Amino acid sequence: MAVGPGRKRTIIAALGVLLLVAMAFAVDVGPTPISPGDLFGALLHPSPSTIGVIVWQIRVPRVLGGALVGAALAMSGLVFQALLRNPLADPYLIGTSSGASLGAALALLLLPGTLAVPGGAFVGAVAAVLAATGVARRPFGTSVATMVLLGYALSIILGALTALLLFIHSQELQPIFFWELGGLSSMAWPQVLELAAAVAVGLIAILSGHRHLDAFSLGEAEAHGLGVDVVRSRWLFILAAGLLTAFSVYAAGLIGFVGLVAPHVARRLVGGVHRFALPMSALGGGAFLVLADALARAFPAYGEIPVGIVTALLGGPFFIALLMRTGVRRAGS
Amino acid sequence: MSALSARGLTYTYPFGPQGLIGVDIDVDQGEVVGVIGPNGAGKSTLLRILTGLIRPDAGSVEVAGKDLRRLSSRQRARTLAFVPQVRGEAVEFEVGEMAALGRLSHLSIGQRLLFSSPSGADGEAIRRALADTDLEGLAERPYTSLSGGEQARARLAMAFAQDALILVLDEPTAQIDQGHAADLMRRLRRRAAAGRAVVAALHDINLASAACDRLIVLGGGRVVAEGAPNTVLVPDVLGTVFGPGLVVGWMPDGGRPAVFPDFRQGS
Repeated sequence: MAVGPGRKRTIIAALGVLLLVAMAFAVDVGPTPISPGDLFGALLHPSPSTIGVIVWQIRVPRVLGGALVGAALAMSGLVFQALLRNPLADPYLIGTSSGASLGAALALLLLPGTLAVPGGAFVGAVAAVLAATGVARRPFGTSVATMVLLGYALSIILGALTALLLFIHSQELQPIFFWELGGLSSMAWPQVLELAAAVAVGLIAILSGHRHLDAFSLGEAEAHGLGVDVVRSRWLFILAAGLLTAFSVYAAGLIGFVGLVAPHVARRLVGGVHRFALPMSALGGGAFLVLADALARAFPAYGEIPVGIVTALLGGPFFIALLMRTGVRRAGS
Repeated sequence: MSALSARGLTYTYPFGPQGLIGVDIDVDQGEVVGVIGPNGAGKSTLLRILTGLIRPDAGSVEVAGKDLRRLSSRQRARTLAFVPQVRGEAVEFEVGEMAALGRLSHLSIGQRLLFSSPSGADGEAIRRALADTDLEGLAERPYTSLSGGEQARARLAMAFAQDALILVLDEPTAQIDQGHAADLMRRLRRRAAAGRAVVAALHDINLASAACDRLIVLGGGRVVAEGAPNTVLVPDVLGTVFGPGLVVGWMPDGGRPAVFPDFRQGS
């Protein structure tokens, strides 16, 4: 699998095209049938017609938002996998998403202002990452399996705290309820723009340190030896991944496994060097979530299935397969 | 002037393994120094302090005459390369990509941001590091597809590419067979002969005796003995550090001691 840099760029470009195709396809899926010709016309010439409104005010923001949430989750998954040197890390599985959710719920209860909720989600996400990485950085290291179980425990504890808040303050926390299953149904232009800003900041932050992230994926001692200021770089990556997770939770709730599946497939195709793996993961995560959401909307008889259910059904088995393979390979260590 | 010099290193872990108590160490250009001692003697702790990975409670480290604490991470990495103990997790890089990472501390901010592979002097250093580890033909191979010996060489290539005066290695031969271990030590000797200073923690006493110019024996966090292998690997020192049950003989050329388990008295 010696794939040269040129081939890798081609693969990334091909995935970019695939994402665009997936988005076009997803815009065409919905309760109102729209012929490809009408869709094309409505996309090219925005108009206040019924189809124009459906396409531009409902479907396009939803699909764009889905692509951004997928990209954000995939990028934070990739960062966590490198920081923790754990191929099974995912913002949903290690409790970061639950932390964001709890932070947002607390902010909604306690703080006024429009920025309080995403701010709370950000603080909650970063706190959860610090808890997860703090445990994983014990002096003698933590095995992959232990790490995953600890992440689960953290995720369950934070989830229970959120559930407790929801139980006590069900009125005030109405918006948090829909997060629990994860869905893109409330995606509109304002959320899309917020997400786009968060994804841009996160992407630039991570790309600015792409070689440092490479060094981290060899191990912290290795990164230190290579001249990385480990403490400062780790903060950069934790804040960037926390921001990406927080805004994806804020916009779409708890969606699992995107951050696991996309980076894996990406590294399989272009290798572990992050200047290739990062764009690859972002595009792949976007395509994965856009297609999962199209699938979730493809059965109008059942209404809209929350996309978190679809990603869990697709990603769960992938996770088990990965866990078994990893478990077998590392049984001795 | 020593390439690497430390005075009075003292370190106590809040809990866990043996720390260090007043350790002095000097490594000169051109020599390979081995740090030996039983498990938990403080070998890894010493190397972690020498490389700035942990800060000593007391004592100081000088690399190339400069106080380690005053160097930035990048300045340090250009003077001192570190190969930590391997832990066996998957590394999803190609061999050439790993060697290229060795240049990280040499790249300007612009070059670090760029998406291209390092070129010019950096490219040349990478090429040389791969040549010095006989990995030119494997540059595009994924690390995980290599044999254990090749993997050890790939990690060495990354450190060689750093082009540092001092090379610190923690158990570089821990997971490879004896032939590859000897090969690796030979490459380190060549590196030292070319004017670098090499210090390695080694588990295998006989490999250390055969390959090192000087040995530092750690026991209970202190330097128990230090000097040429034939002055250090003597029954007194071995008994103090490793306990009874070892006997000292000689390698075939007669110049360097070899240590064997002793079963002669039914022990």
